Amino acid sequence: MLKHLSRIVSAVLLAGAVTAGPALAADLQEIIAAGKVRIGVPVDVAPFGSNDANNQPVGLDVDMANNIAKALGVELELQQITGANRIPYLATDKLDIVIAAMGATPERALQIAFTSPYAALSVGVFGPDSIAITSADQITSETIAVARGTTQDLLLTELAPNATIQRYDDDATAAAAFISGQAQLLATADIVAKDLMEKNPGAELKPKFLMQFSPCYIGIQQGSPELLRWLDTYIHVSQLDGTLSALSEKWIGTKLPTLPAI
Amino acid sequence: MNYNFRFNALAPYTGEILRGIGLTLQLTCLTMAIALVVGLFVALARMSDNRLLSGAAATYVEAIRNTPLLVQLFIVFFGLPSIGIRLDAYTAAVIGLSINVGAYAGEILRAGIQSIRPSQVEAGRALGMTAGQTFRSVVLFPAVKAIYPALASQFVLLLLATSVVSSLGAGELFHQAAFIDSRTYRSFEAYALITLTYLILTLGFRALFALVYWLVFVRRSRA
Repeated sequence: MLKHLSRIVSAVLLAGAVTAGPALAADLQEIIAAGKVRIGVPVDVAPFGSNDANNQPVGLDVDMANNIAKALGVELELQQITGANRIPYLATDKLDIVIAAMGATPERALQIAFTSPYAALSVGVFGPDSIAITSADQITSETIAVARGTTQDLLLTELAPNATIQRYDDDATAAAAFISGQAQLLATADIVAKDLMEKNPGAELKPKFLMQFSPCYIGIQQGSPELLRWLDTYIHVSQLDGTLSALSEKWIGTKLPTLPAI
Repeated sequence: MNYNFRFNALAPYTGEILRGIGLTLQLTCLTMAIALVVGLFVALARMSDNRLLSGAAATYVEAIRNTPLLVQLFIVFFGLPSIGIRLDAYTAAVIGLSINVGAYAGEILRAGIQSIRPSQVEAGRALGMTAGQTFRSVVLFPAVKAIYPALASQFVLLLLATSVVSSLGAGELFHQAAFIDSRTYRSFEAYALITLTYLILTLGFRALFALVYWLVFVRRSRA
């Protein structure tokens, strides 16, 4: 019995060693043949992706996912994810596409591929009027809450290396830390801060300083050139025919600024 | 399996891992010490003749043992600020874990104390021992021997449970692995490394506890 087990284990390890190579993602034809596409959207970043009163996913990214599945002519398999796990979900082949208000960075592009941008936001640091700071280097004793691994986390780590940054599992917990007073400042997107203020009377999330204008890109696994080309074409056409701007007006309340292609 | 394993991507984060191990050990030892004190009071309260006192202790133990640890921690960290008690992540973690483990430790200590029958004390006195000698040799020593293995297990369970406080933003071992994952995107490598680290820590402690047991209880009773 034990002998068999050790044989099986070594066979598995050997198979892994032989086939270990770049991740083999499902490309466009495989997705169409399978008849379904696996798309990840945020669970905790309103107005991009959150749950409504009936616990159904809603938001700009959810609409994008529905539109894309419809245009592909396949069934949508929606998965709700957080900022910290959106890249691991792609890297470990749990999803084909991630639409999660994600910013592009050269480091992230080493792991996944980005399409052209489909929406835009600015990330910054927000807090009450009583804290008078206007730049990252003025942060001294204040604690800043942020969702781990997000664009704002990466920027803040670089801009304010001496600040007390508290990293939480997701945007919802980071927001809870700010609202419960465990952190004096919150690093997030301008749109998210506005949404939080509307939903939590008393929460004072005034912009202290903006760190970056950050367009949102769709992420896919590497090694799917046809899918990447198709998504870029879809975004290009949706920008020209006004679909993207209409989505931006519906969820964010502003027209989509002209975004350069990637 | 189509994945390139790159453990060398973790090398620049050795400092974070070591800090995480340090904080995990600190959290575990501090919590265990507090939990033993809490547990002793709980055990005495539960065995008390005062119905109010024993009822309160029983309620505490049942409430803690039948609710998730994460919920207890969130109440301490995110809930208490609503009534004006604001604790930092580390303090909240120590308090939350101590409240949790205190309930379990209380039950272990109660079982240990109750394992000593009154007749044993009478036997000790009948053999001519003083009250102090009887307490040391007939009550304390066998009671500690009886509960030692359970407390040692509780310590190891606590060490593993500290990973849950990562959600409060306390920078223990699991939090550091999640941080490294968010910077390198090497999920498997980061979590495999800390799996091994937790395993080494727990096996190390189990070996240490077994050695102490042998030195204190086995060798001494043979002598």
